[in-house]
Amino acid sequence: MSSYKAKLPIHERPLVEIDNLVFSYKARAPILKLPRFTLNKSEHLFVKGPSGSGKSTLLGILTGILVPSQGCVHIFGENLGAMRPSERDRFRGKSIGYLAQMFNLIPFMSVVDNICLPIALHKMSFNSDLKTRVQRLMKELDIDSLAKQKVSHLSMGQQQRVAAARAFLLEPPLVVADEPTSSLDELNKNELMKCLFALADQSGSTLILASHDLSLTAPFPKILDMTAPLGQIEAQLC
Amino acid sequence: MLTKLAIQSMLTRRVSVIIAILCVALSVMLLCGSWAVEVGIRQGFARSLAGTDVIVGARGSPINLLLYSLFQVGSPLESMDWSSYQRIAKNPEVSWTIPIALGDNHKSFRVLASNQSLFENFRFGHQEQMTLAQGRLDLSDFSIVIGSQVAKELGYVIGTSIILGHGSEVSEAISQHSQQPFRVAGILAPTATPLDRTLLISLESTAMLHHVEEDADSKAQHENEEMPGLSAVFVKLKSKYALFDFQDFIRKEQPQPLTAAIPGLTVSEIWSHFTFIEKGLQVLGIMLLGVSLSTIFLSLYTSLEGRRREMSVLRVLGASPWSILMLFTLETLICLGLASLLGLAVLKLGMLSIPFVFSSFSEIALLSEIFSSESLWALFAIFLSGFGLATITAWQAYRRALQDGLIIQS
Repeated sequence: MSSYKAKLPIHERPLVEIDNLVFSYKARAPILKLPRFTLNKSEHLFVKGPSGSGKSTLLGILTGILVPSQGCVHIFGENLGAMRPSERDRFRGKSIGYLAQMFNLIPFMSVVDNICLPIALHKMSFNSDLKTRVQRLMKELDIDSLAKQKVSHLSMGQQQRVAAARAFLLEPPLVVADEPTSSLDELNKNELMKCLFALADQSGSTLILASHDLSLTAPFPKILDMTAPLGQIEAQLC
Repeated sequence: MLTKLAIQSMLTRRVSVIIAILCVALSVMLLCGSWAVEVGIRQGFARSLAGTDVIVGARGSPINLLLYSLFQVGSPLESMDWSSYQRIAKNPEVSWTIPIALGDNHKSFRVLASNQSLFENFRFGHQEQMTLAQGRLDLSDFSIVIGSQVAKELGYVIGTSIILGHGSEVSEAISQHSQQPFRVAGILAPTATPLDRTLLISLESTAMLHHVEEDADSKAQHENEEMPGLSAVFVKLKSKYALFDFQDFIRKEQPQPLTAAIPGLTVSEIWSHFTFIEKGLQVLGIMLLGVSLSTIFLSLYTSLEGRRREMSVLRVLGASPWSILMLFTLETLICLGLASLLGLAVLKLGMLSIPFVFSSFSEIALLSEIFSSESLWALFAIFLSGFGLATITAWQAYRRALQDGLIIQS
């Protein structure tokens, strides 16, 4: 893995730094351009924009699933583009939590199995610390009574809370959420947002949330407007 | 956890998985079955005779001579004169002889007439000698020694009285030698050779049964006329090197035209006639296996579309290509493992039931092992192919998941 700004101590490095990012599918016209953008630790970011504005693409690049056509992306000083695919997989699995619009849960597995999936995929030992953390997350998200149920039997709100528990399980420095509230009603939406911020504070994670729902912007200190030309960061007071 | 995920994923596609497992099980059964039967037949042939260098009979085909004298298949067209037998027995190159006469049966079991030399010199398998399960090896005075299968199927014990029938065809005799019953003196221990289905009597008893009038005083003088015609003579030579001279002796120096069959060579010749059946079964098994592996591949591959979310989730959570490969390999190996176990279990049950359905094939069933070196290679090839198919599918799944990225929502 290459190191970015190796001279800087780790606490001074930006959490996310994007430099002249261009992304296009094959030889088509670019669908995303970001000249420069940095995000420091604990600066929760809201990415706004309508459907098709490139929000999911940006999240794909930040999580290392998509590789930029030009420019580079550094997460905690690590250049994702310079990593091998398997290194990016490992990096993403251990350092980035992810929540999707449709929860991205495996429907035939139980709640607890879905939450513990990252442990198995990264061959971590399911020690007492992790067991306690799983129990605590389920309790905080009020899904502890559903532990053995298949997620396909749960309501939308419950499924999104399972996905949130999984995203925060390994206490990643960065949690990325792509339209996490779009399938939820008002009550569940507000509940989930409260949970996300509470969990982010507990685990010291930085939250990047993309949504077209502007009512969610309030708690975010930074907003990235994908509709603005070449992308612009708006500073916002909490 | 990956194993749990693989099993749970398979359970969601249970119908196609069960069909794939049944197809592979059928192929494994057919493929291993064809080899097991082949091994059983080969061992059965090889086991039936040991230590005999030449079988001599009346002029005819060596294959026919071997089949009727050793395997109880077919009948001799002509008999061999007693005088011819005596000339053979007196040949200085001959170590020992076992004269045999066929021609009678008892309830579909053949009767073999011989003398004490049979018990002393006949060997089968790995130079094994006939042993008794019960009674004694006594062929005198209308005593009879019966094979283990005869005793088992007919429920005979020591002392049972038996009436023999005329004719060696494996059917009920048309005429019975009812005037002269035999008494069971001994029951042989199982040999896994045609001996198990044979009744043994003395040549003298056969002669008497067939109304060769005897006079006690002239018995020694007119032995030639009194003894029955022989079906064959098993010959052991003092030296293997004398084999060609002995064959010349049989061809040229006998008043009666005779045939000499070398058991090993003749068995190979017989086997060459059956090879096409064995090859046919194997080709069928391999073709079926190809179809079955394709079924597994199709089942895995077509499930990819329905598993896009599963793959996408795994990918997002940081699953490496290795983890995806492990998942598909586990699924394939579970399928193939279950199918192989099922196929081999059904095959074993089938082999065990052979004696109940086809009693004359009991030796094959007894000798057949479902694990031959060929069948183990076949299983290895099946698992290797399965691994190959799993790799192709896993690669496709990984690629698709990469393309789907975070976008797949349904």
